Amino acid sequence: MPEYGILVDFSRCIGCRACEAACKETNKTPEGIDWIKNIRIGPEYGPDGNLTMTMVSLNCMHCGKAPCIEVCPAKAISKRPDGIVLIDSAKCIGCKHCLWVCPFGAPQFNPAEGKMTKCVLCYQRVEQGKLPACVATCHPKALIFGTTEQLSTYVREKAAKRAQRASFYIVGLR
Amino acid sequence: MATIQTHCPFCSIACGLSISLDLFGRPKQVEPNYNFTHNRGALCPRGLLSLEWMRHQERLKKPLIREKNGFREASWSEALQKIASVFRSLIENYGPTSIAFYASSRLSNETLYLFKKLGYEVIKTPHIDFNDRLGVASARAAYSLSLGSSEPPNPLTDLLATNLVLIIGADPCSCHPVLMRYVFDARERGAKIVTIDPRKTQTARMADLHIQIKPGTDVAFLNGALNQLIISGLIDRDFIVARTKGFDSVQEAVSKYTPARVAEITGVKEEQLRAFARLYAQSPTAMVIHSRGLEQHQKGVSAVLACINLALATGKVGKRGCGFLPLMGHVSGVTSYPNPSSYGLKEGFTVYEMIEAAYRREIRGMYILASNPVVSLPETGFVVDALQKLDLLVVQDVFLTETAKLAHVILPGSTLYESEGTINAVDGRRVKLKRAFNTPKDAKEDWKIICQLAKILGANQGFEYGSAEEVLDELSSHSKKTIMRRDIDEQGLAVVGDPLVSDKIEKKRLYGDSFAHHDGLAAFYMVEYAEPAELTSTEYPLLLITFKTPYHFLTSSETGRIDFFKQKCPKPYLEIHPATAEKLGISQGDRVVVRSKAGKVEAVAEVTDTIRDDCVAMPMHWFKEGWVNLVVPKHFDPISKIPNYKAIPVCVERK
Repeated sequence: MPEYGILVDFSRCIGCRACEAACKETNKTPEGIDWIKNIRIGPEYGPDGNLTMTMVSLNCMHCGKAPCIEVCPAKAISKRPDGIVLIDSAKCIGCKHCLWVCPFGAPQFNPAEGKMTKCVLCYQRVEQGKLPACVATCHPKALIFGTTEQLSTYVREKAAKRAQRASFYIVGLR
Repeated sequence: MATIQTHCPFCSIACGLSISLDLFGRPKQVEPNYNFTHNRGALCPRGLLSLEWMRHQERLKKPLIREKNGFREASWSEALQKIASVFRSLIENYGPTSIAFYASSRLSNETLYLFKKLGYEVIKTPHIDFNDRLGVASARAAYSLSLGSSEPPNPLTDLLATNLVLIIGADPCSCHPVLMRYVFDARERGAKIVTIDPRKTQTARMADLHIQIKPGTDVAFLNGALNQLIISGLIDRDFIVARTKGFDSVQEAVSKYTPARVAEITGVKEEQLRAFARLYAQSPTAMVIHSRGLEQHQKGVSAVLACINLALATGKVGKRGCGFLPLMGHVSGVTSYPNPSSYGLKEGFTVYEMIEAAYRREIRGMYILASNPVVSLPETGFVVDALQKLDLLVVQDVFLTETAKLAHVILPGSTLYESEGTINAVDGRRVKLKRAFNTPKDAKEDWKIICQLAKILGANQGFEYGSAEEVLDELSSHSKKTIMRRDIDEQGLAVVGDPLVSDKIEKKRLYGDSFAHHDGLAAFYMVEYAEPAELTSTEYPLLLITFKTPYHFLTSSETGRIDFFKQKCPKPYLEIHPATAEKLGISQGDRVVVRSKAGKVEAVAEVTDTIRDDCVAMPMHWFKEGWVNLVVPKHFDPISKIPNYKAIPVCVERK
């Protein structure tokens, strides 16, 4: 089975927060709970003296060896064969242990239900062959969805193109 | 469960989207449309959350009539009869020119056409204007002067084939987010990105070269760049001789713009000017994107002309990957024709002239359609005074906006998801809007209200339409080149070019062989830098720029009511450079007062390195605490009559 994931291309994110809005529209999460969150870093002066501002959209990473699964006392969190990590809200006791151990702060507490909640990678959409809502709407194509092989191929192809262009400049072929 | 394919009603990219309906025909969700070439399945948050605007509980549901103590609900016939009787008595006593019409151009072609027909044909007033006066007026005037037509010349896909994207006074990251995918793709294909902007916007941060220019000095910079190109012999002499006229006068005029003088005027280092000129000349192709930052000045038309001169002198026009992309703020209907002369009337007032005439009591009745001039026009205090002097102010809108609060009669209109019609996107393509769901309660479609009002005002015929398509056919007959209904295919991917010129699907690139002037030549216009009417002084030492945030839209009458955007951008803020802030004793989060000759407004200080130290910047949107146009004085471009919203001398104090 493939292992799905989302890749964030920092160089393309413009911080429009369409991912947040699309997630809210699709998953109808309550106020204050964002399964995907766009974090702004800066504006600050980078090492080269240029003013930079970076945007990073963070959702659940659906880890290969997820600490939340290991730590959950109610055994409510599980990993599906396609790599999507889900919280079974029927079993969840809302103890917030998963939040303690998650390196990305992905699980959030929903006070209305007294349960933990987090990104489900839009598994219903993925099962229908669609992209997760945040990826589908990302117009600068900063979010990329795919299996781990697809994602690494994507990055490699981009790197290859970059190298090719750089060599043009260096050798003066242009 | 049905889905309706229509288009986003916000910015001019006009992204395709589909609205899914539940079994009762109520809208459920917005999803991006994968078939529309502009967005290809992507949407920004404004489009995604547009249903929250349409279904908002504050929507106007019934006609309202003002009484001494507030508004009362009224029936349609009562409201329309009241409007008709006052308009009739005004026409009788003061003539038809005592009535003025003003509308948003963010309405369908059909609605705008009927609005004009009502004004020109039934009321017989020449005073009709649209809010694109505040937006694209400068660009339209400059393109008509120089290239012969105000039509956007290039398709969006030309961005992918270019070697240089020059973005002047525009921040697509905030205003046209979906455009950024073209810019990013171009960059990945090896294109360089250059931005000219006083603020280091998100767009500027990702650019290869950012020129942080002093506001209002673009003419000097662009002339200086052209001078550099001429001196280094990097201009395209063959193109200039074969395709243009008037170059000699421009050559003479720009020779005065030496790097030293340009640096003095614009605050840009000489090396940067040279680097820009070199980069521009060495790129075989270049696309120019420009927007309000270049245009909303007292020399707005000149600035656009300077920009066109640069492209013409290097022959970077009308080829693949070469040309212009003037950005409209929002999707827009045709406003340029039919014009008053086709109804035998002379040219009427522009919007601010209407307001001034209302202040003088020359204009006594006004009909404002889906626009919010109290927030969007300069010198709010004056605009409010003028509108309060009117005998009758009719406002047709979907929310109780600041302008509607002054109205005598309010008519509840429709949004673009609730009416049929066609509308034009950024590159001139016309897209078809479909009715996804019904207006709330007693609200009606805008064009139907206009027809009804016309009949009550005594128009015997000419306002009997079965559908919006019949209106479109009639509108088409006013253009020399007709457009047929069939040119819009089922997907709504529609037509092209001058909004009413037909051509299937792909937008055609213009000016490949000849320009739109009679002789087929493009005209160089000599433009000179001139100091604005108001300069910074010891009393008002800083220059204020207005800008659009990524979260709100124009006067934020829609986005200001959506929680998502309200949380992201709740208050007016003032961007200020740390050095300036320190001098004034202001720190992050302080409440500050911005003062100009026109008035004052309060804001929260946002200390940031992204702005020049001689400037401050404030969002243009409406906020409960106040909005920037309270301090914007009324100065206009002499040709396009666009207000100067950028470069306003102000002083800032801690509160």
